[in-house]
Amino acid sequence: MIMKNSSNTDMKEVFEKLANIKMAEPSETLYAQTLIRLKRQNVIPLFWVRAVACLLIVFIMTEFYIASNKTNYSDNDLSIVIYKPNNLLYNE
Amino acid sequence: MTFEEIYFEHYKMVFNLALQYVQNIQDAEEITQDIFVKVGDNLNSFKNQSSLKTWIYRISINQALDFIKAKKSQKRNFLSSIFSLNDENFKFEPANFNHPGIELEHKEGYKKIFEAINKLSDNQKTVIILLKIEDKSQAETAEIMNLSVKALESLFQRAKKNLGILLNTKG
Repeated sequence: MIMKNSSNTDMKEVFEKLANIKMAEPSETLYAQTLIRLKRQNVIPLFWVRAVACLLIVFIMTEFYIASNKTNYSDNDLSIVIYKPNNLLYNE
Repeated sequence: MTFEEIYFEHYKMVFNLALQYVQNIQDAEEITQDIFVKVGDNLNSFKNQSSLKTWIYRISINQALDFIKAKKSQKRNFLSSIFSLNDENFKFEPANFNHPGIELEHKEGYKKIFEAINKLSDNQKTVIILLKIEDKSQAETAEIMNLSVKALESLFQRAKKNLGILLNTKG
């Protein structure tokens, strides 16, 4: 009981101390600094510019890959290398 | 209201609130700038669902807490983050305890109190700051924190208990 009362008193003292904290004044240049930062916010961040550029490059490379695969012949790749003889008789 | 008018009406309140979270001028000024940039960016979308002051208070609290989280994660290195799930090792400590609202001769005493406050959870820290430092009423604090008065009272009691434990543990 006594311990509980003393801890309540301690917390009262702690809260009294906190209530005594005075208001402070920020620096006079803070408004100007805030305006500069606000103006900078309206410019697109470099991170997003880079991200979009990377996506565009990936997109273009993907398109190029798909397009180059489409122009390939229907035969398999080995048909270029292996000669397929024509077995038709000349005088048929 | 123009941005300039809003700034000059609220800048002291915002700066001092930030100061209670970080206890040094440089960090508090950086947070204040962040807060007003956010206010400026979102002013058009402010829907008057609460008062402007309450809205700015909420932005201020969230920005201050985000700043503290960012500082904590800067301290954490990659290996520690894998092996240590407990955030206690990465508690926020202000770079230098330089609270201009505190007299120099009482600095050590206040430093211990704020070290304990910094260990509380975000909500408990906020309720102590708003009720006991900012001297807000329960109704105002409940509105800012978007809680019922009953929930706020319960939160404050838990915060008070935990703060008492932390201060007594430090001896």
